[in-house]
Amino acid sequence: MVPNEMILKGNEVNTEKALKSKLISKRRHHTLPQWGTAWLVLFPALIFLTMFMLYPILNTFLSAFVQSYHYSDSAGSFAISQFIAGVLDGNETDMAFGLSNFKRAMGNGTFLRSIGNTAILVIIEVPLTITVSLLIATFLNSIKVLKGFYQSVFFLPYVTNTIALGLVFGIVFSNTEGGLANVLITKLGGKPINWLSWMADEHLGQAPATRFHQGIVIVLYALWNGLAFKILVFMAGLATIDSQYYNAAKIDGASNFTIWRRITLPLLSPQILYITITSFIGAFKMYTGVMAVYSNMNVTKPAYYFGGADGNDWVPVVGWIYSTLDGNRNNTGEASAASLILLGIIMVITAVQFAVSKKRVHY
Amino acid sequence: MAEHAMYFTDDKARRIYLTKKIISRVFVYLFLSIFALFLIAPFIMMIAGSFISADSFHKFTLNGDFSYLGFGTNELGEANWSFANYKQILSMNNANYNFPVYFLNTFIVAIISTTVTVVTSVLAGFAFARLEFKGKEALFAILLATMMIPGEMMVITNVITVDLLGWYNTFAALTLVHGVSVFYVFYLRQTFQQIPNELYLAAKVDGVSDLGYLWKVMVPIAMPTITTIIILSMMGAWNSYVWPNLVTDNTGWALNGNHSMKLVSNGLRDAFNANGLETGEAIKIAGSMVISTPLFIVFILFRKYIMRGVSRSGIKG
Amino acid sequence: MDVRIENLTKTFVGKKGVETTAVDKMTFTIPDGKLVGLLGPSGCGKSTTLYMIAGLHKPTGGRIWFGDEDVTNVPPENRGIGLVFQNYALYPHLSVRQNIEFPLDNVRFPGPYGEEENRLFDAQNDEKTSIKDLARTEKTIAKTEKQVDSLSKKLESAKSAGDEETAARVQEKIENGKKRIESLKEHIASVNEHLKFVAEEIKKAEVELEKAKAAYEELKVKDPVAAEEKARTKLSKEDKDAIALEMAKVVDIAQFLDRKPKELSGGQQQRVAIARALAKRPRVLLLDEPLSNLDARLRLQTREEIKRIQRETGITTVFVTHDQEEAMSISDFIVVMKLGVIQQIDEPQKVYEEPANLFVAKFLGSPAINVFDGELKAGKLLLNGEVIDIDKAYKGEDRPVKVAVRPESFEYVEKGANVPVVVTTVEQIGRDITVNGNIKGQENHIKAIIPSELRAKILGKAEVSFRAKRLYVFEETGERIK
Repeated sequence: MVPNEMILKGNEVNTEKALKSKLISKRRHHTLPQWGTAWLVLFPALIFLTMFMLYPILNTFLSAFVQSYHYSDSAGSFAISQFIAGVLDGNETDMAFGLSNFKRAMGNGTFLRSIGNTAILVIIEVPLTITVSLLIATFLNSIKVLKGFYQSVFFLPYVTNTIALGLVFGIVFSNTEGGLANVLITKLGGKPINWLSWMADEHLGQAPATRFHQGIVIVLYALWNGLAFKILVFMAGLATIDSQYYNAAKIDGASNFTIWRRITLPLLSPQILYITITSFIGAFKMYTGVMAVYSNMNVTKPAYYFGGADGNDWVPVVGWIYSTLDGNRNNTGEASAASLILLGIIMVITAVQFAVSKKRVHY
Repeated sequence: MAEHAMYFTDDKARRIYLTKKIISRVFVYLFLSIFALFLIAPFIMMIAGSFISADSFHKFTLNGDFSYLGFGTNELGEANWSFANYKQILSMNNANYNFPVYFLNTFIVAIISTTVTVVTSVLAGFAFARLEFKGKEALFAILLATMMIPGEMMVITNVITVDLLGWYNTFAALTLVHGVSVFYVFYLRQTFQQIPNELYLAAKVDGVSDLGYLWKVMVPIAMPTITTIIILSMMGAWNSYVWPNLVTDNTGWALNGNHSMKLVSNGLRDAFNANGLETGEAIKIAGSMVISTPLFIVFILFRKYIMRGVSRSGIKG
Repeated sequence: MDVRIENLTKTFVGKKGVETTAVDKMTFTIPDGKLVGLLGPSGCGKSTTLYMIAGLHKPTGGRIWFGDEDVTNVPPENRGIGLVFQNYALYPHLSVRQNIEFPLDNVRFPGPYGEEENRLFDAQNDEKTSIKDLARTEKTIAKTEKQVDSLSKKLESAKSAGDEETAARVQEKIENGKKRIESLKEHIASVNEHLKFVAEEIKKAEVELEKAKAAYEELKVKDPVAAEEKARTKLSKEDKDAIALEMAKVVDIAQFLDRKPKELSGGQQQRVAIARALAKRPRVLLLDEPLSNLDARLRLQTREEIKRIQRETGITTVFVTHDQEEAMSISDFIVVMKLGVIQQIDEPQKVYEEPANLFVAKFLGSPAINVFDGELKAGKLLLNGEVIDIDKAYKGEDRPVKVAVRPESFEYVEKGANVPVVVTTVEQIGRDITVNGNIKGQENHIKAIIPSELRAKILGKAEVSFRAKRLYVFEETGERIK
């Protein structure tokens, strides 16, 4: 529709005014200075940040070091208010700072086992997953046909619900029903394995699942989940490498493997570093990934069951922290201490990685 | 590299080259396909297992007898392949287990928390990208530092805070505690900063206030990023397990009598328990399917958004 | 609406307190309805000046007047200006029509006494801002005085310790501090002056407002229909569309109204930007290097468009450019700037033919003017010892000078050629010949453009002598000697 005609039809007087008369800017009013707008706009974010992020960090540090942190239903449950109340009351025990929480945590056998468990899982899973995803990304980058299809398939696990798929894994590796893994094994002539269940099954002649078998399932599940994000990041990184480099190398007669080793990998090293660091950090905080494969187990406290008769065969550090907290809120001090220990481990490992990376990463 | 443009010493050299190329191609596709299969297998399992009658599934896995997988009816008179499992999952209802309720809860939580997150992130990203104010650098440094602390440390205290506020088993606990995501603030700030400064000056000359500029210009231009954030955030709510597990249970919320506040992940995990239902594996698989399907649909529709958002900011919501 | 600038100054304080003066006490007037170009190299302060006229930068000192209204303290959206940027700055998510209509959301018809209300508000705002300014300046003075005090003490101790070097440095700092305080005190004086003036303005504005209100009441009684029409302040959708269409027609992009900016070429986008700037009927149109983003062909086309649009609308227009050819071709006046100081303001041809100093002479003209060394002896101009300008007598003592001749001012004559040039290359470009070389005995590079018919006379010669039809003489420091 030509605007011209549209206007001439009606409202002729009005638009005449529009075309002829003067225009002035809107009624003047006093506006808020820019910093006023800024703080106003930041207000909601700041409230959430302070209440649920900054304060908790502070509180965790405090409650880890407060000797006799006790949880009660009144407001004294905030470590800092307990401390202040203690100061006011002159209550020595309430005020005392010390390392007792740390000692208690380190003395807890389950906690120590959890550190060991986590370490084992991390050492196995992270290098494995990174290597596989690097290879997949490289291969994916080199093909044209069906590239989109494969990309979607490899990205699928990212959007899946951890519990739901953990349940499926649990069923696949079940030693009783739906155990497709065992079906496959028997078809190939082997004996069915009890992968996950802590119960011995005399009927099938199986002993309780060993930690080894459970561990295999856990690592497989972590691999399954972990590929998607890493492949995505690597592919994004590969895409930024100028094909000129490849062309130049080919002209120089380099084989594909040499190109991969001496051009692709170095140019990809920033992404590799990023993935390595984030994967290690993420793996140390592993919790749902371990718990999920046991989703098919019929237990009283499913959120904290990690295999075996006592549920602690493969308990990870974070799992231990949460279950300690869930059991008894008075354990907060211990849980906080444990989380600080975890933080310490993570920071050390990350620092080491950074130091090692100085020489090998090229930007 | 076009073969005809390459120079070979003789025909044999050319054939060797081509053979090498074909072998490497085959190897690549084989490698990719093996892992693709590894990734797809659970899904096939899920889809197939959910439609097969519980009894047939049980019998098939006990004996490895493929005859149970045929179409037709089984010994119990039920059809081998049907929607029966789904019907059961969705209709079952006891004190410890109520799928429709979990769905409803998760849906509400997803919407509320996404709204809260998007609003706070947009406003905060705007403040850091466009506005000048005292303490801007300091605040930004604090935000940066917060990103590096593992969330697990904050959970401990947040659980206690939830208790003290009386937020146990409420939507408040599920939506507000993670009301601000520092990642999203950074992501939005980065996007906002890419909007040329002249646009701001032009709008200023035209009499637009700072907030007006945000609403009329910045948000529309940054819509793709905001959409990505919305999708990732809703996905995150759908998949959350750890936090809801700590702050909700089946004892209910006063709204309409006892009504479980669990979300889908927690509901699924706890449903087939000693207190819950002893059911066939196939039914459990149907439960998994029911939960995963909405996400599949979102993935199919918004694949590009999700993948772009993840590779840019490296987050899972 | 003429634009008057008085002693406009802008200083930026960088890191470590280093002060840079971008614009230094500029004073000039842009006559109503003229197209004026601010011309100069990068860093000369032209964009800063433009932004101060726009209101996006606050001047450190000086005043700006639109007509008889002092707009120095008026925020940009209330000044009634339109601004066009180098990179167009069109809203990518809006159509062309929506882009042009964007400013119309924040304007309205004056209504029965809208102008008077605005005038009053502006005056009151001005007062507030000036008072704040005073307070701030007082604080700065106090701070600087304290600094000077402590520096004086340092000076004492340095002197008594016999530390000459430090003493000298501290002395310098003290001098600077004192100068600063001086200029700040001047500033306070001028602001106080201004406050008196503003108080008057406020009174006047209040009176005007009362009168306008009364007039409106009368009108309501006499002619209700007209009164109602006058009272309508909001722009309706039809109003906005009409204005958008009008503007689109003026800049000649009416056929693109429904397209998005990215579907248009650079030149078209620039015209949309101009339409958007004009939509609110600004009093002054400002353009910041509007043609720099366009390719050579579009540049020629678009600058003609700008000239035409300015003629048609009659809006006072100021534009900034570093391209002297651009400024020359379309401006009514050129303001040549260097390091924040005006070098010359005049019509283009005059600036070209009568440059006020060496900088201006060198900046205008393409290819650039030739500069070489000469001397004044006994009132005559000599080059390499020979008199080259017999008729003119120059005042003043004997001294070395700079001589400048435009390439096209060289003339090839058989007799009387007194500028010897050692030839390096000769370029023939069809229309004329360019002789490249240097003055005999000097290193100064010379370019001479002569008609191609003289080809035969020039080719092959190692040395040619020209006559300078027109030359300029400058002091070593750059001022023009007449």
